[in-house]
Amino acid sequence: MKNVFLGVLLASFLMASSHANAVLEPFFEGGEWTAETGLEYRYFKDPGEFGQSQHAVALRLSAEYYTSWNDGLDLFTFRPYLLLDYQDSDRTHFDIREALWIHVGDDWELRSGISRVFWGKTEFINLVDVINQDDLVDGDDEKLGQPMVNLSLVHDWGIFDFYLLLGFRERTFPGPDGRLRTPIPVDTDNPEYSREAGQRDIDWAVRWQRPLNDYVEMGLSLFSGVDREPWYSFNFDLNNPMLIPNYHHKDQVGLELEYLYEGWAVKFEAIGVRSEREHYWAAVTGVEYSFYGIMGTDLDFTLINEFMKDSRDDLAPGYLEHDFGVGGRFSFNDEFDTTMQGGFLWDPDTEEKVLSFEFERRLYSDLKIEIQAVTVLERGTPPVDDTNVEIISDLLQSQLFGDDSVTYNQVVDFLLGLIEEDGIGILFDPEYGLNVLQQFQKLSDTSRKISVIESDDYVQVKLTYYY
Amino acid sequence: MSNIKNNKLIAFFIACSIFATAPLHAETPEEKGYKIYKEAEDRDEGFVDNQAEMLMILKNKQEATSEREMSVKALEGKGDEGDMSLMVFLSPRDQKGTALLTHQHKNRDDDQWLYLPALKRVKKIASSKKSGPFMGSEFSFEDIGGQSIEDYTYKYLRDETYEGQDCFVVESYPVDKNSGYTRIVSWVDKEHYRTLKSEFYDRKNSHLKTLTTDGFKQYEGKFWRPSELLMVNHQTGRSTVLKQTNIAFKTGLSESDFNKNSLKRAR
Repeated sequence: MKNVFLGVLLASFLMASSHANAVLEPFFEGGEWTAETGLEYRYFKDPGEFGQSQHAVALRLSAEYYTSWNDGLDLFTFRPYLLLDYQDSDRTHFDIREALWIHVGDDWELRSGISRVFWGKTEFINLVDVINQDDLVDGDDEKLGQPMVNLSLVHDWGIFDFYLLLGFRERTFPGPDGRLRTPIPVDTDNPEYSREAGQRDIDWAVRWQRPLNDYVEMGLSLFSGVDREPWYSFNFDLNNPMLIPNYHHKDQVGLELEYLYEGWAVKFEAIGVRSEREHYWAAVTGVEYSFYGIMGTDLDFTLINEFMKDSRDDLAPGYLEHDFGVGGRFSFNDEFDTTMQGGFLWDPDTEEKVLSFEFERRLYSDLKIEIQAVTVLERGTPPVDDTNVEIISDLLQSQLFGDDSVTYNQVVDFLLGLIEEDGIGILFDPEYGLNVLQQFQKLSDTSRKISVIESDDYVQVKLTYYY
Repeated sequence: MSNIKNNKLIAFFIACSIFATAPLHAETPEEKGYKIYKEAEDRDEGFVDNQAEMLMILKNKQEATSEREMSVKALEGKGDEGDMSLMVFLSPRDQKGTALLTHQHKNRDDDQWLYLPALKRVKKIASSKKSGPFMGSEFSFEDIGGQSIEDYTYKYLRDETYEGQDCFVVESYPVDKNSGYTRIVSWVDKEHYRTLKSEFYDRKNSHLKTLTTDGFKQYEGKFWRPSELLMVNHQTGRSTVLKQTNIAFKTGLSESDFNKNSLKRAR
């Protein structure tokens, strides 16, 4: 957020001088505002593991200002966004999704300001999509605005995009009162950056996209900057246990391919990553088939199959490390744009299974309803009857803590400290810190990622009004 | 030989055109049908580019049920290239900013990309989705999409007067197997080669829809465009009115207004 405020500050400074006033005038002239308000209600099947409510209500307010001048060759969009959550103060947040000035040239355009960018082809996961930070507390596809300068060149060889990413946005996480959180909450106030990564970093990226022939489209991208996905370390405080997000630098090369023929689509995304921590690759490949006008009706159905693989296997931070995804999407093609989709994720190694369902329909011309439900059918539950000694021994053997890693040394220091303070006996005292240690063990058990999220099956209804 | 280079909706309007000079030798009905459409196409050549605002009113048997507003731009293809078009939705408001880019091709399927503003995502669309309804209306994608003369074979049926105008009645047969129609019967006026009425027959060869056009105006002293189109579905009783306003030709558009970048900032 610092960069956003810096931008606003800079803008107000510029506006103060009358000379700059003339320059900025077109940005505030002849534009139009639109807005939307969304009311979201979530019902969770079970009470929260930590006493959180089964009901959650949130309000979304967002507006958009748009103006263009210079015969449409200059455009400016401003889109502030506010999410208010009545249970979880950490979910409540303000963001500038967009404050973007686009200047259009003959075969180039320059986009400066805060923006959101999408890269990718596949459905369940978009590995190559790295420009924006996820707005994790908001929802699946939501992203935080990223300050940038983006030059886009349209050439016979395709479209080339060059990005300078000014500053880094930290991921949002639910707070202790929120649902869909990790058993040990994430301490968003005290993130750590590695030596090569910093909040003020200027990152860069390049993407080249072009059709290869009549049926195949390709995208090739490079990214060098702070990995949007953090790693986590433990604060080793049994009274106030927290996970610390750790941000690292990474260099990534990404490839996207899409083949379309008749009702068939074959999609592929892959990344190769070299970071301070590790080298790895990950890929997702999918096949889709669409049936149009089923049984003489207007109904379309698309069947989606994807397989995801991460070379780190269990050590990958996300839970889509070796998973099958099967999805189906119904488009009713009616005047209310009704769509319905279901998704099923299955990890054949751990038998983790997640089922999701979405429904969307316009109720009146300016009102839309969206219903979403998610349930975890099968989660690998770690044993809970271990003693402290067993847990500690497991921790020390965890693949996450290599012998020479900082975290390993922290674990050792932490344990030695405990023993020094309270005597070796505490390791055998089941009353002492067992719960926290167990939660920590759960987190370090990389093979069962879904168990990290508590039992949070839910149904969500969202009404959005546009005006 | 250029395609009917009009963009989607407009092309459609244009699908109303033409005729050739009466041949001296005996002509087959197929040759005559083709010539009528070729003449309509030739008469529409050289529009360079155009823009228009569109309003779609969806109705059930009794009343209007919803509206959609769009703005459309089109660029005539040069040489062997097909036309390009860009359509942006202004309403319903949850769809605002959704945009459709089409590159027509003569001898292969058109390329189409859809921009979804909420996700900032450009998706390429499969060309086999032809027969489905366009935005829940009685117009299908193939009705709306640009059409080339090569997309059909033709057969002249007869002369007939339609609403006081002398017309050719021509039957066209879609070449593409994904088309929702077996045949389309059209009334084309002899003076200006505009399609005044079309009857669409579905895959079972039963009468599915009828299109009528109204309020033709001539632009640039050459190009005829209707201000209103009415598509009635006889099987459901629903209908869609499509109104076209602020039609302008030669507005100075170029190819750079029809790529993925312009799709993303279209308004």
